[in-house]
Amino acid sequence: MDIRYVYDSIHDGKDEILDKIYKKYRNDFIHWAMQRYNISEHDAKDVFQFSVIKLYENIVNRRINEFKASVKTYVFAIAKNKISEIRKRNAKWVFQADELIKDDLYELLDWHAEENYKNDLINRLNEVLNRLGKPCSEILKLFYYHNQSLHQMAEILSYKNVDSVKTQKYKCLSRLRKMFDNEIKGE
Amino acid sequence: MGGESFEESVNRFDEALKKFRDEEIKFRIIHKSDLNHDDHYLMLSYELIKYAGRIDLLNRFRETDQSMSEGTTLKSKLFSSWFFRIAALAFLAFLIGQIFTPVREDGSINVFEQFFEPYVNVAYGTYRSTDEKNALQDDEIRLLKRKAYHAYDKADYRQCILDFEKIPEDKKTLADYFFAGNAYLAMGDAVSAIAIFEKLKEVDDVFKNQSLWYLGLAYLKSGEKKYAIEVFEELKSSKSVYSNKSREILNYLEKSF
Repeated sequence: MDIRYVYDSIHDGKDEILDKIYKKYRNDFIHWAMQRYNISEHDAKDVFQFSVIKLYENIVNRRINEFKASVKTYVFAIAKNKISEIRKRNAKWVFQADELIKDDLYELLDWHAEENYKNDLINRLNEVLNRLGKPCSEILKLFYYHNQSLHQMAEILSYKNVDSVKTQKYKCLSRLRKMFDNEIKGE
Repeated sequence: MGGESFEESVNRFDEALKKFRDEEIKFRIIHKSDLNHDDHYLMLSYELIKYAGRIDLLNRFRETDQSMSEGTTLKSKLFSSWFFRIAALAFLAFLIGQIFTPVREDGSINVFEQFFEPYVNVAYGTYRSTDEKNALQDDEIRLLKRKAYHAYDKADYRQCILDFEKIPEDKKTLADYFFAGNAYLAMGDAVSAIAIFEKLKEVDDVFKNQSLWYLGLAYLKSGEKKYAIEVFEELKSSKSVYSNKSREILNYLEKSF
């Protein structure tokens, strides 16, 4: 399976290709990472999950310029870099996927020195986001995570036109802002 | 930016996002001296939404894990039945028959084993210090390189890699990478070997054809025949000893699949 095929599939909205990649290379990766890096099966699985997520993000954000490699090589290379990065950074290695996906948030909340406080804040704000409910959570994720254009979103969510989606997105962000403010003021 | 409405801030943020997706946007927004409350809020929201999207994917993979493990349980149940035991015996008999059949088809792994031979060490771990301040560190590096190449000569590829990985990146030569790629491949770690040879073929003129040859073999080892063929085709038209070898392996691949 080559990167170009996966890239085109995801940009055509066929993101089920990710499940195929996951199933196809998961066991190979676990076997390889356990032998190569002497890590547990559980850690290897978590790093693999993180790496497939990264592959997806690199594709939707158009961060892939080299299409010659196979998907297997690409995902394994992401994982390899991540394992080296974790080992260099931490005396105590953390491979849990739930932690790995918080990386960017941790960086953003850097001014809060206390790790427990950061974790607590992330969990609470994530709860707020969940309370926002549909269609807002869906709209915001489509735009800010899946990098869909307003035009694509209008099609996916059956909105009349691009302006309606844009207005709805703005209302959702305003609502979320009020909810965040209430949550943080209530500390 | 003073007096900007929230709606205007959102539009400005979305425009910046379109331009500097991810890493760069943080830099552009966080390091602005006139960072306002809206920017803080939008950045936090963006990261949280991204986190929520990642959780969705993670949950999806966890469901797949569950269905895969259920599939394995189902398989083990099937294998415990008499029918599948008999079928397994029949399959075993078929496999034995195949082994004693004079002509049989080889997979890409077999072709790999037939053609792969680690490149003979012609580099040796020489390293000359140019900086007196770093003399001690240079001594350590020289020692590590010597150990790595010594292990390579003794075909102790695991030790060779362990020593190679301890050498700082900026002290590794292209030749060091080339031999490390060979060591990975000899250990059966085709993925690491591919990563090295892919890079070398772009930057190294001295080892270019050699790197292409081992890249093709690494692709064979990882079962990616299509990429292996592409590499050997490229090498076939080169003016090097690998041209004939590539022709030979391509003929072999054509016959054996």
